[in-house]
Amino acid sequence: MPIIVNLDVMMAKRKVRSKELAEKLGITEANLSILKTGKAKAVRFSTLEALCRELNCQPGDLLEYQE
Amino acid sequence: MRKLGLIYSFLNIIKGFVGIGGIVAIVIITMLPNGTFIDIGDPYYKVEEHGKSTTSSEIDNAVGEILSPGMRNEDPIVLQVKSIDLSTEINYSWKTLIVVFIIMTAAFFVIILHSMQRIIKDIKNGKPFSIKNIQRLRTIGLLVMIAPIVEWLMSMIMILWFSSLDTVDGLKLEFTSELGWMVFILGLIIYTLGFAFEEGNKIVEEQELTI
Repeated sequence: MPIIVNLDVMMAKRKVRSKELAEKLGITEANLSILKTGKAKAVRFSTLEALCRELNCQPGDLLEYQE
Repeated sequence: MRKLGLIYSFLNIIKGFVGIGGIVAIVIITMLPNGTFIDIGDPYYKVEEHGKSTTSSEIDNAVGEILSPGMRNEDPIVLQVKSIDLSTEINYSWKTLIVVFIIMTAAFFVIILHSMQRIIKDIKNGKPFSIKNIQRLRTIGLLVMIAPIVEWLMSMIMILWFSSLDTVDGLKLEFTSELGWMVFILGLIIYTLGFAFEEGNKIVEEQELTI
């Protein structure tokens, strides 16, 4: 998929664990894993907003486009 | 999607035939002159004996000669048949045919009913658009489409078999068999539903993978 999700990179930078982040986002660890592994087909703005808030970053830090 | 397009075109063709047939029938009916009578069923009886046949008018004349001179030929003659029994000797081929027919009919119903039950179960579990349900709907649709064709073929086999039997002198058996078009179209509708479920599956998958 052309859109790359660099969530694991940002989580490592902020030293946040999956379980902790999933709880703060209000989603399951399984769904967070889908997002991290690039299997997600779409991301809601509300989820993106929560990610940026919890990881203190910009959407561009999490999403990358590669042809 | 190409198959769906073919089904759509086929339905258009059927609609065309129905429309044209209806218009022609209406035109014919409206053009009939008022006050005349139209035969809707021609009572016809025929007696055959050793290759010789006697038709209605000949029987009328023959009976007219037998009856009292005072009775005119134009007087209506009513022939009553009290009962007609048709029986055949049970033999191996007859038994085989009937058993095969029973097995085919039972298998047909069992497959359809079981598939419907699985679909209902999945709907209850909140997974109506699963891949298996799509396959089940297509299976049911195909079976329902094939059923009238198989039924017609079986009828033709039975007709051929009955026609080969010895009959009573003077008794001629006539059989007809029609193809169940309505059932075929019903099967086509069910098969088409499979495509709708396929689209539903795509929507559900997309929804599940939206975080």
